[in-house]
Amino acid sequence: MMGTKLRAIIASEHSEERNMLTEVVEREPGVVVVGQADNALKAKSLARSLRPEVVVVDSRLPYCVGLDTVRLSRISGLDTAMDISQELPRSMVVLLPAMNAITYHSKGAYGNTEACFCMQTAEASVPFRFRELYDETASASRLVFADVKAGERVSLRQRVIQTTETATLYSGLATLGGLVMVFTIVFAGAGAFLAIGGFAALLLSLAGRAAAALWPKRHHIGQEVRTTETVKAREVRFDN
Amino acid sequence: MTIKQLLKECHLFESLSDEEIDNIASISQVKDYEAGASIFDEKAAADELYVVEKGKVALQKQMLVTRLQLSKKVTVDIVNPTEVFGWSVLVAPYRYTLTATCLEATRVLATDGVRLRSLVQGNHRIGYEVLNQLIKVVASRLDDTCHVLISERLLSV
Repeated sequence: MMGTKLRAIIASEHSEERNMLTEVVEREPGVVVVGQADNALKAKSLARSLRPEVVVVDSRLPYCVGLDTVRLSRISGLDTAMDISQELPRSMVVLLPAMNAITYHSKGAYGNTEACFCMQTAEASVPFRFRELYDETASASRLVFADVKAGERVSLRQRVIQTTETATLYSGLATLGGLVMVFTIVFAGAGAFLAIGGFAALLLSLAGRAAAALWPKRHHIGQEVRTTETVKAREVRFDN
Repeated sequence: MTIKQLLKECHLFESLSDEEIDNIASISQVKDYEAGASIFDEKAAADELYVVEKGKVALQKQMLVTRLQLSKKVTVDIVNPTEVFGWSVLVAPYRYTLTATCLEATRVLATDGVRLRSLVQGNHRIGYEVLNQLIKVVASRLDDTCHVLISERLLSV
């Protein structure tokens, strides 16, 4: 499937949540959202007709369209995900815990921080790409339990600045330490070596810092995202 | 949150004294489940009562779709933090009536069923208070299920 676009559909009750999920899904190159559904019936109908490679389902999904006077169950997410997973074994179904767009807004999902899809391996929080996950498991009928978490995008320029600042601090300390040792008789040789090495490292880190200052600000490391919370997710294989 | 705090926040045990809560706590233990994990299966022997500390648990009923000759699970309720599930542990024939599946990483307090039953039988006050609250849980779950069933039938007309 490499080279072709992954088509995805989003199933979540509220348009604000669907739009947020669409934005996060389409952030990955080669993934395009081809349909949205606000209830379980519509999601299954869309999945049957479009047969997408990826289906993202909010677990707090109503069974059918609501009326203001009728209370909806909003418990159909898991059933929908399992049904689609069974009916369309080539589709990868990603089930999310109850979405709440307001939460993601308050965490700053837009603006300086961004959201990403994550899944759990043991105790680790692992952001994943739909392409990699889909290619790994395309032949199996599967349901993936995942989550969307707010994260902070780290630019290459920012990372270089952080690294060079740390390097400057430690190389400066090494230089000073070396000079102190030079003034002692016993450690003069080692001190001179340390001071010269530290000074060289200091010059290098200052040069790196200067280069980062001139770096174009729009350069980012692809889709690299640093997550800020522990995420739990798990993939489950259904044996039909 | 400590085991005692969680038990106090759970409606099932809210009428019990501190000493009685301690008795329940002494036969309970914390368990963690990953998202997608099954806590118990329908028709299995009910050996533990659960209170959700964090996460969400879907309760599903196995249904046979005769037209398609296949069985599928249908969610009838979702249990949230401080809510209880697995009440079959207190009601004969002590077999779970639903399957419990974690929707997200979940931490529960699991109370030993055999020891809980003997505690309830040995202390009638605990037995009365727990079963009194248990009826409310069962009635609430039945009411929700009926409401959902009726609502969705009305909407699909």
